[in-house]
Amino acid sequence: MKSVQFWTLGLALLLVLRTAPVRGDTPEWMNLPLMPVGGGAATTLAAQRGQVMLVNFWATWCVPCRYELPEMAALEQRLHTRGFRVLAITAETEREPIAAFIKRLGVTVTALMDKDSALHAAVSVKVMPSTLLLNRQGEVVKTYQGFDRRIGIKPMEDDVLALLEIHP
Amino acid sequence: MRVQLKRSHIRRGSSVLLALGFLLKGSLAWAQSTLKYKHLRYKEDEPLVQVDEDVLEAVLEFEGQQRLEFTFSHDAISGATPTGVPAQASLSGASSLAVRGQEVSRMADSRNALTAGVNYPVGRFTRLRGSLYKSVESDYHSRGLTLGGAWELNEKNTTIQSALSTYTDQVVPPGRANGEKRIDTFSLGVSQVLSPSVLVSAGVELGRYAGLLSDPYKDVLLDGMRIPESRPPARVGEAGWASLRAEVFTHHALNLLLRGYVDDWGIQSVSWQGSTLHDLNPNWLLELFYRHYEQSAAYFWADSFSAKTSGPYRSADIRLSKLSSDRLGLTAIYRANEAWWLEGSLARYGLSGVPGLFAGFSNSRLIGATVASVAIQYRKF
Amino acid sequence: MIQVFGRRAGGVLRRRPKAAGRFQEGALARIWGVGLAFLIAGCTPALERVKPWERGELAGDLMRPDLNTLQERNWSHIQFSKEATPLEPGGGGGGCGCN
Repeated sequence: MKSVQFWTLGLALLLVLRTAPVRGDTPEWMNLPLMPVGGGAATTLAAQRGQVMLVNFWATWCVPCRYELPEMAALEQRLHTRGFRVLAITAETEREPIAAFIKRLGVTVTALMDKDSALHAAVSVKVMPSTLLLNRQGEVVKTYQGFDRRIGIKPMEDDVLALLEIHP
Repeated sequence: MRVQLKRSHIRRGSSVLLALGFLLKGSLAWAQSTLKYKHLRYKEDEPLVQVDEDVLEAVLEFEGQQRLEFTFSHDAISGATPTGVPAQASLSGASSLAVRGQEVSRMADSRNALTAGVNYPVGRFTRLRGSLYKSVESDYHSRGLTLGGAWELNEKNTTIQSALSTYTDQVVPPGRANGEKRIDTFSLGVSQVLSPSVLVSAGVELGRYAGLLSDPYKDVLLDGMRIPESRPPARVGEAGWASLRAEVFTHHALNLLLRGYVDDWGIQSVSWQGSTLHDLNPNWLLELFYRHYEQSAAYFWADSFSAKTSGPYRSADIRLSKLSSDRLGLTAIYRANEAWWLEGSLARYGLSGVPGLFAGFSNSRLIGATVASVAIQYRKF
Repeated sequence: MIQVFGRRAGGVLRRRPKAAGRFQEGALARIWGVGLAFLIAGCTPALERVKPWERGELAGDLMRPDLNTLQERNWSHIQFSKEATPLEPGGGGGGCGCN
């Protein structure tokens, strides 16, 4: 009996150690496919590592998103040479309305479609819009929920500048 | 809530609302605003009543999602006297017109009404709202206050809404007894999202009326003699309703609403209404709607009364009789772009019931009316 | 002193005045009961049916509860002037659920 208990415990320990995240492992959601709205091959968040990223979850029907996205696009324009990128990810499935909406907003941003909303579910998006701040190693540093027009993206901008080691 | 509303309350309340508007955090740079103008004509088939209404509605949303809402309406009312009875020498508004072979007094009046409200978010899941209401016509002044809130739960899948309203009305008919009426209502509703395209809601309401509830223009026949009607000085009613809104096919939705009402005047009513909405293309949205309503008579309603058998309360008002109504119509919305919308609507409204004091009415159709409206809306993002 | 349907606002749980009708008492009890049921239902996690990113249709013109509140208000006014039922349903919910 004691030996059964010993082996059971050992097996359980092995399973726990096997499944525990090891420093440096890429979370599975970083490898989920994302289709560019403008067409082309699928990409992943893992493929974008090496840059500081704001991953913004938005939708064409989300009113606060239409105020937030232009501000993020403007920030990317200022800082992209320093290794900063904005990825605007939507769970909507029709390319043309998304492209038309972005054109109407008059912004230039990397817009991606999340197939089957897998990434949205994996990171548990609770509010539209939501934004993840990723460092160059692809680790989530901070999460921002909602968008307050009175504050704008100032908190995000400060955090991005800190990660890029730019001191105003 | 029995609160006596006075002019000073309205002035103070309006000042508070305006001050709130200016103190709202951020600035006067509005995040969104919607402005809508509508003209509506209600015209009864017989030359009884015609109402032309002009409404201006404004919703100003600020950067912090605070909202100011205003509605101003002006009604021009014309037609027969509310009694529909033969002209009386004592009534003013001299000229008469013929309705179903009987002479009735012609009348004209206008009504102005203003609602001003504020809708304020508290955190992510709560909104509070308050509004003031005032309406004035030559023989009826109304003032009201509404306070309410909405709470979102279960990741905003569930919304609970509640509101408390109180109105103080002054009834000042020319040549008749003046009086005051108080109206208090409480409502509670819940909405639940069942799926990305299905929303169900249900609610209850409680209302209490007190004061001069008799219609000063309505008479009854008591043993052949005409005397003013007399309704109980209090009334308590409650209603329950349930609705379903669902996008049953892509670009086509169905709305259903069922409502029941009962009060201590013996009136029970049930109404059901349905509408279908059709998103024909990015520009055109069409709505077809139908409503059927039935009510029982108040316990003190009759065609005529006898002093020996009737109680202290008597009314022959058609509105309190056993009746049913139907409404059928179509609304078309043209969405020129995100900012500009045009709307047109045409509907028929029919009221059927038993004959009342005005013997000229038949059973089949008491009142038939056409309601037409046009509107234009501007939305700024 | 503010009175709420015959009760003083500070003493909602006190006995109602004897003069109040049985109808009124029954109506209040029903309202409280239904309200409690709503609150309990509102706190059930099983009612988290739709994720925030799935609310596109609910935010659209077909499903928006506030598409034409002015039309509803106009009809309430017309019906109120012709029929005996004074109360009108409200309700909201749905929408985009953003922020």
